[in-house]
Amino acid sequence: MIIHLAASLRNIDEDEHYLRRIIEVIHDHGAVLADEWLDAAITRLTEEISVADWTLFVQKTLDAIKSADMVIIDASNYTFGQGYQMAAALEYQKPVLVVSRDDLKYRYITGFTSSLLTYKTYTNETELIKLVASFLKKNIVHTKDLRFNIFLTRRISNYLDEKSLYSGANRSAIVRELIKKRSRNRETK
Amino acid sequence: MTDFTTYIYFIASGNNLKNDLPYLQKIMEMIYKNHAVITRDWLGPVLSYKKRSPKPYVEQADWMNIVEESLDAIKRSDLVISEVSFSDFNQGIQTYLAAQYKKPTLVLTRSQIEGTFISGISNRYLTVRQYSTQEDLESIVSGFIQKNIIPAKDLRFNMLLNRRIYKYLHDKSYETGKNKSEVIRTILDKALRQSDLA
Repeated sequence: MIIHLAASLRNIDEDEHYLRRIIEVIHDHGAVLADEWLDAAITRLTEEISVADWTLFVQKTLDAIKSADMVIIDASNYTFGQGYQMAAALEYQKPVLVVSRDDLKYRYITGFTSSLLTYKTYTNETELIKLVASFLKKNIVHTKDLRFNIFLTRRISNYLDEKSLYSGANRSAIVRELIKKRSRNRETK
Repeated sequence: MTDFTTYIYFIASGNNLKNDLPYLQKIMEMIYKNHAVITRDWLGPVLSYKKRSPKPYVEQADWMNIVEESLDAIKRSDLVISEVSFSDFNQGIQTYLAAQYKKPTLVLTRSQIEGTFISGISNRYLTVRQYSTQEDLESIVSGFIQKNIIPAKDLRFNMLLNRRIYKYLHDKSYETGKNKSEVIRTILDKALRQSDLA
């Protein structure tokens, strides 16, 4: 399980404590971060240096979102960059948890009805830990193969029987191959 | 006079109107001066509400409707202008989507760009510019609109056809009584409708 964690670099010293709690919960669930950027950000803050190449930074961030199974955004600073990442994550069909210490009640984000989006306000780290844990549990995708049951019409069932007989492959393998083919076609489009 | 043909969606934060308003109004003025129209004029209703009620606008706003309308307005627009001096979450969402919908988007700010997330965005549809005065703003906005304006009249388009396509158009034209250009336009219209439905 890969998780992308997003937050603002603007008040990283204030946010660090909460971000570390989020990372702990992620690790407790056997998941890993898509990009371990927090330590680097803290080092830059201590050494008073800035990000060397922002274009590369943004590209890496978008790549991390793409490679992640889920995205968690601490939007307590409610910045442009976080909104940008939320939009990207939803476009890539990733489940997104937006948490904030500031009330999100009257914000633009509340107008989104995507089933992939969860937004919550927290006031302390206990609440934050609960929110993150519940989100991870709900969206966890096991790394082992998943069992999937499906009803077939008689016509499809006959087709699979025939195909299986001629090819020697079992019916599940034929279905998996068709899905893979369709998925490859979609990617190359 | 040129007809209004270019539709522009205008993104800004309503949270810092005390400082931003003159600049936002200047942007709107430049949009109108360049014979374009705004696809969703949200600023007028916000200002009008502020005059009428002491209660913050955000508390009575129908956010679901606002999100739906704003995303629809981005889709309908030819261009997008995003003023991000008071950089916030909403602008990030809308700016990302504008670029995804392939809308030429001008991102404007009075704040320093260097060292910010915005400075790292590399997208062919996004142009990020910093301004400091209303004169700067005027010239940047006008330049952007002029560069991307869509003329009111139909556009002339020349293309090379191979013999096979030419023959098909010739036959189709003969069958339908339409000229070849009309046949091509019909095919394109159909493809456009299908892509809208997709």
